[in-house]
Amino acid sequence: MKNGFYVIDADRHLMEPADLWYRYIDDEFKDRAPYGVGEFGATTVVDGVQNNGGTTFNGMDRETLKSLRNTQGLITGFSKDIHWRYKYYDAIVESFSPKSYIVDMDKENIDAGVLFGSALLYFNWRDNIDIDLVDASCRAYNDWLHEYCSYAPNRLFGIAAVPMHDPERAIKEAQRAVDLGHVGFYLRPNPLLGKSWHHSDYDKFYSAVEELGRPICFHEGGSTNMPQARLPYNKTFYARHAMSHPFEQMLAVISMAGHGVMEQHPDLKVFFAEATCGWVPFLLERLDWLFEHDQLGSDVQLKERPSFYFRRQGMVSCESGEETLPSYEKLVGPDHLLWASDYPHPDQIMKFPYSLDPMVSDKSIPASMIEKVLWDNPNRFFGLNLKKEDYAQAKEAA
Amino acid sequence: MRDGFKVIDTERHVVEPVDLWSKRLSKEFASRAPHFLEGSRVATEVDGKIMINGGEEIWRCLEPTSDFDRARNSNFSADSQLVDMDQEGIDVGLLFPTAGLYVIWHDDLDPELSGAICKAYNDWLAEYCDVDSDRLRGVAMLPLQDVNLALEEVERINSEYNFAGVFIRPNPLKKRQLYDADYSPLWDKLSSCQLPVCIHSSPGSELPELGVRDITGLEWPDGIQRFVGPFARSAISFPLEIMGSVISMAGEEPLERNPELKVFFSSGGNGWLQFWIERMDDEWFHRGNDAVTRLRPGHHVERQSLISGYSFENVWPFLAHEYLDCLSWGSGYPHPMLNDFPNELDKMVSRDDLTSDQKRQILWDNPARVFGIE
Repeated sequence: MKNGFYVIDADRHLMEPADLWYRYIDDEFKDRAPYGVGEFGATTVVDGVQNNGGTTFNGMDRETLKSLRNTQGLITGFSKDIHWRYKYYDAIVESFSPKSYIVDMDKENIDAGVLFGSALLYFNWRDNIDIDLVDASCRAYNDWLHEYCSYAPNRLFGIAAVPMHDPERAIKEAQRAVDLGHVGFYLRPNPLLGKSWHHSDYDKFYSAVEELGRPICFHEGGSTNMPQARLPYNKTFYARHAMSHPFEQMLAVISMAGHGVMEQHPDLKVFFAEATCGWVPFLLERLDWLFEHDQLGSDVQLKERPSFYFRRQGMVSCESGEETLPSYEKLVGPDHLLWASDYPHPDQIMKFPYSLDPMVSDKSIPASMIEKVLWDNPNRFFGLNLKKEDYAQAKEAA
Repeated sequence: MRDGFKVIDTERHVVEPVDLWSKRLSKEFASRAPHFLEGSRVATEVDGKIMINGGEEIWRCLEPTSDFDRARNSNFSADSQLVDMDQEGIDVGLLFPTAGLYVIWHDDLDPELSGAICKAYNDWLAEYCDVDSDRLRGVAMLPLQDVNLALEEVERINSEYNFAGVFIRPNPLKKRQLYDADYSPLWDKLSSCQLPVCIHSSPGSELPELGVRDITGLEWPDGIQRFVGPFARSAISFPLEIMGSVISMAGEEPLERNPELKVFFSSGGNGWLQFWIERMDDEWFHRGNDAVTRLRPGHHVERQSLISGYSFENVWPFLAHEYLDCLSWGSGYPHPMLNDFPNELDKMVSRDDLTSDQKRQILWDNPARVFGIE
């Protein structure tokens, strides 16, 4: 709680230990499991092929790759950054254990967190990959995640990995993940196996997820080797990252709200995460405008305008201090927005442990909206059903 | 003049006569002149290449509809342009091409042929504008396949004609983004000639199309078609491609290197502006160690850019508060995907969420300053 606001952080990240898959994956897959290679283990290699960060390690023989594996510490390139190592020192020395994680949440007065991984953004996201291996890797991740969240089950809520290469298996794993207590399903917005997300192959999966009552969570990650909406040939990572997050989410909204997925699956909840919120008003306005255009809208058949479906089922997140919050409030409304710290990813380095401060003191939007963004919206959207009084008591006990 | 406002419409189009190139190309190129596909005012075949890629359906707008009958019946002449401007109360129109959005934009088009096509277009456009040179302000085309040829054409049009600027597509041509070092001499030249760079997008060219035909996936070397229909392509290609060009010009070297160069972003609307400046600056701040600009991208946008918005956009009051100097208004005439002729200007002028002073600046002062309109 901060400034009188109870806080659910809707998009935090875990730093996976380098030996996660060695410890949790079925024996038969251990040799081919995801691992980090190279300096600080920054690159995710699965079955001898890189899933992100280019192609430096592709084509190396298995023995050489094995010698380059990072089996200690974390899978992350952030360690290269001295500011990152300085800022998150307390967690790094504890290898981002659940205990250190809660300590850092307490530093920021965050009551509960929805947890995305970091290697999660890459480890199962490549077209040409053995489906059995993907399936096993997801199970291992979700088991580890379950154990991690068990440290503080009323404060840590995991987003599960699902093997989308095979929607039938994804359904199975999604059901198992909910049984483990996870509160949503991670998807990259980029096209997998050449398919956009409104492809009919995913219909059964969306139906199953509707029944489970937990959201699917689109979330980009900058260094993927998948197709990515950005400037081709561009070499600067900042420009790539500036584009790929919001652009991919815009395309995901066009798929889900504009091509009938949300209409056909009215109980499907969709989170378009970590791309800020300022693009939503103009995108919805444009989609509605095009939808109503007698020629340009002729290839989409929807009963309502695209923005209707976004408002009924969609959600985006903001970080503190976004300048477009007033236009978001006016043009989209207060009920479709979450707050996210992005802990401990590079966007947060300069803000931690004060990343919540600008949000709880933001005068550009009403306090009633801040309350919704920080608590009511995530609590409802992820189906957490948390009660504020439980957290007030915890605080007093502490 | 409309309701006391002088008006520059910063996004209008000519519709090229179908015999433009067959009539005007020199003998050397005559046999390879662009010719229009059956019934189309947009799609051309040039030297064996079809210069459109799945965008045709977007252009049904040029088929008969009552809105544009007058213009169509006079073959979209300069006179019809002026009459339709009068009907809405538009004083000056900035004129982009229609077929020209596609006709040269192919990696493998012979640069000499591209140069000849541009030259013929520019000559024709100059004659078109001569019908009323105070009110019709053309935007020239350049053969970017060869930057030296483009420089020659800039030299020529600058000495012979009075164009408002030069039109450039945001998509990468020959694998070059707008910040590519090959283009540096061009930005230098345009800056010294005080000719603004006018960037305009549209779905369906033969070039890579951001978010629609992405060529970035390592497992997809030939690109991947992510969306096919006009709804998604119109939603994506206009704003996203323009936002990409903003970071190319303002977040890489061109604008910082040429502080006098003006760049005009049209066709993408303006709803993205505040969000995109904040996003670019934030990313530059957090991840900009590999950035080449000394100052944040937003600085260059604010200092050197003009952005054309449409009447229907709801963010106008928010933008007018923060970025008033960067805003202009465009109708998109006569492309009905964004144009509700003859009501576009009326929708803008009658907005009750902008003050008269703001409207004056948007409708006249800003574009007059950038394009040197007296």
